[in-house]
Amino acid sequence: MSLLTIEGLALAVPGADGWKTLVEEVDLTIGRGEAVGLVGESGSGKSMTARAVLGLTPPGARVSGRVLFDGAPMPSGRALREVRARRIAMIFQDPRAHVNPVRSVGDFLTEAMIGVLGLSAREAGARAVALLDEVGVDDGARRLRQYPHELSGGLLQRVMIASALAVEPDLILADEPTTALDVTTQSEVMAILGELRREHGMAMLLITHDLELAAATCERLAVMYAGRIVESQPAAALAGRPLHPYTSGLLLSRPRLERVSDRLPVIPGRPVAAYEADPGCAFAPRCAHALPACAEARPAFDGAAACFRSAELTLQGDS
Amino acid sequence: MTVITAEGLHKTYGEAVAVRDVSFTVEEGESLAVVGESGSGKTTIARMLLGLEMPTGGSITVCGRPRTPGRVSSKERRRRAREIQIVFQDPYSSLDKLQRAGDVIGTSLSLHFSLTPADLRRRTVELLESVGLGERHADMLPRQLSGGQRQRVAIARAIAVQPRVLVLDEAVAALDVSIQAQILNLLADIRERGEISYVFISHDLAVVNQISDTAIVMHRGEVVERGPTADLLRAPAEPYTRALLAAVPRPGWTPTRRERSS
Repeated sequence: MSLLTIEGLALAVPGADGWKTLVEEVDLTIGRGEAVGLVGESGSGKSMTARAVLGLTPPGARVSGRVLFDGAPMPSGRALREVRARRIAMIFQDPRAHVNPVRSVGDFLTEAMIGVLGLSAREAGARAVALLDEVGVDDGARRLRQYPHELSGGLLQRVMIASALAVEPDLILADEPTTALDVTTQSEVMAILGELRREHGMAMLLITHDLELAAATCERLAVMYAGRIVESQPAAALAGRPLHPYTSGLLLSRPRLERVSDRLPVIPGRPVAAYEADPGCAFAPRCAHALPACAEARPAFDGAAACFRSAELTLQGDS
Repeated sequence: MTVITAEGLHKTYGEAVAVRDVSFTVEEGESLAVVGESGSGKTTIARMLLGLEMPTGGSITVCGRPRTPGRVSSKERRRRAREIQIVFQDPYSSLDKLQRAGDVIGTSLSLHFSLTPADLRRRTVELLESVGLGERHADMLPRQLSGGQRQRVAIARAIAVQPRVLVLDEAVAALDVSIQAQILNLLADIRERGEISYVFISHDLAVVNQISDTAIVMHRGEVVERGPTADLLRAPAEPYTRALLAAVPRPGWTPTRRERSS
C-alpha cells in the first residue's frame, strides 16, 4: 500500500480576472521508503503540489481532489497539525526564511521533541546533538547555543534536516532543498538525506528543477508542465528513454560535462503556468513533434506520459 | 591582442581577505570562465573589473590602459564603460521596474553615442532583435517580461555600447533550464558576430564547459587551478577541482559526504 496518494489534485488561486489554475489533475503516489522526484520549471506547479499535501496553500486558494496518507484522507485542523508535527516533515529551499532568527538553534531543534515527543529539555538537548552529528555537524553542543545568522547556508540547511528528522517522520517533502547551496554542499546534503532515508525507512518527495539531480537520487520521477504531470517513470527509464517530448527537451538542453555542442538543442518559447496554457496540449506550442491534433484536445496522463504521440515517438534521452 | 591583464589582484574587507594574489589575462575574442563556489571571490573579481570595487592591491589593465584607482572624470568613466559591460545574475532586480525595455537600451545608447531620435529608435530595435526580442518588447515594463526576456534585455543593454569585454556574473544561473540553453546559444552567437571577449563567472561546471575556452578555478579567494576548460574538466590536477567535478549530478552519479563540517 502506498504511503501517500494524491488523486485528481487541482489548485486555483483568485486573480484579478477570475481563478488562476496552478495545478490540475495531478495523480501521484509515493510508497513507504520510496524516493520520488517531482521535476519541473517555474510555474509548473511542483511546489504547490507538495504544499497542498500539507494544506500549506496560498490564502483563498481553491483546492480539490483527494490526498490519502497512510490509507486515510489527510485530516484538517488539529489532526493535520499532528501529521505535520510527527509524520510528514518539510524542508524548504531557503532555510533562513523558515527559521525564527531570534531563537537559538537549540530552541529550534528541541521545541518539537519537548512539545511533541514529550522529552525533557535535557534529553531533547542530547538528542539534538546526536541528530546534528548524524547530519554531519560537529561540535553540536556549541551549535545549539548559536543563532541562525551565525551559520552558513549549508550548515543551516543541515540544521533544518536535523529538525525534520527529530520526530522520525514517515515522509519528507523536500522543496528544492539544495538549490541555494554550493554543489559540493548539495552533494553532501543529498548524501545525508539518502543515508537517513535508508536507515530510517523514510519516504521522500524531492521537488526540484534539476532533472539530473532527481534522476541520480530518486527511484521514480514525475515531470510537471503547466500544472500537470506529463511523464512519470522509474528514474533510469525516464532519463534514458523519455516518453514525453518535454522530458527529452529538458534532458538535451542542459549543457554537459562530457561534451561541448556547437549549439545546445533548445526548447523554443518559455514555460507557461496552467492558467496561461492553450486548450490543447500545454506543451504543443513549444513541441517539435506537435501535430494539429495536439492543439485541439488535451492528452490524458496514462500513468506513464500525457502525449498523443508517446507510443510512436522514439525520443532521445541523456545517453 | 590582450584586452584584460589582471596582476596580483588583492581585495580585503577589514580583516577578511576576499581575493588573494589573482592574476589572469583575457585575449580578444576569448571566453574566460571564473569558477568557484560562494565565498570564492569570483564576484569580487567581476566587481573589480567593472570598477565597482577598488582592488586593495595589484593592477588591472584594460585594452592597454591601466585602471588607476581613485576618482575619475565622467568622460573617463564613460570611456571605461565602453570597454567593459556586465550582465548580472538576477534579471528581476537588475532592471529598473519603471523603465521600459526600449528605454533601458536607449539610455545606454544616448549616454555613449550622439544619435538622432530616429536613429536611436532604429538602433534600439536592432539590438532587441539581436537578442531574439522584437520591436513590440520595446514598450514593455520588466514585469511584463519573463525572466529569460529580461535577461535578454540586460544583455542588449550591455552590448549596446559595443564593449570589448562582457562580464557575465552567474548570468544564466537564475534561469529555467529550457531558457538557460537559449541564452547560452545567444551568447555563443554574439561572440561569433564580433570581437567581444567574455569573463564568465559561474559555479556551474557544465555551463562553463559549454561557454568558455579557458578557466580559472577559485577557492577561498585564490586561484587553485587554471588552463584550457577542456583539459581542466577532463584531467583536473587539484583536489579542489576534482571535488567540484565529483559533485556535479549526472547519470550514474551518487552524492557523497565529503567532509565533516565545522
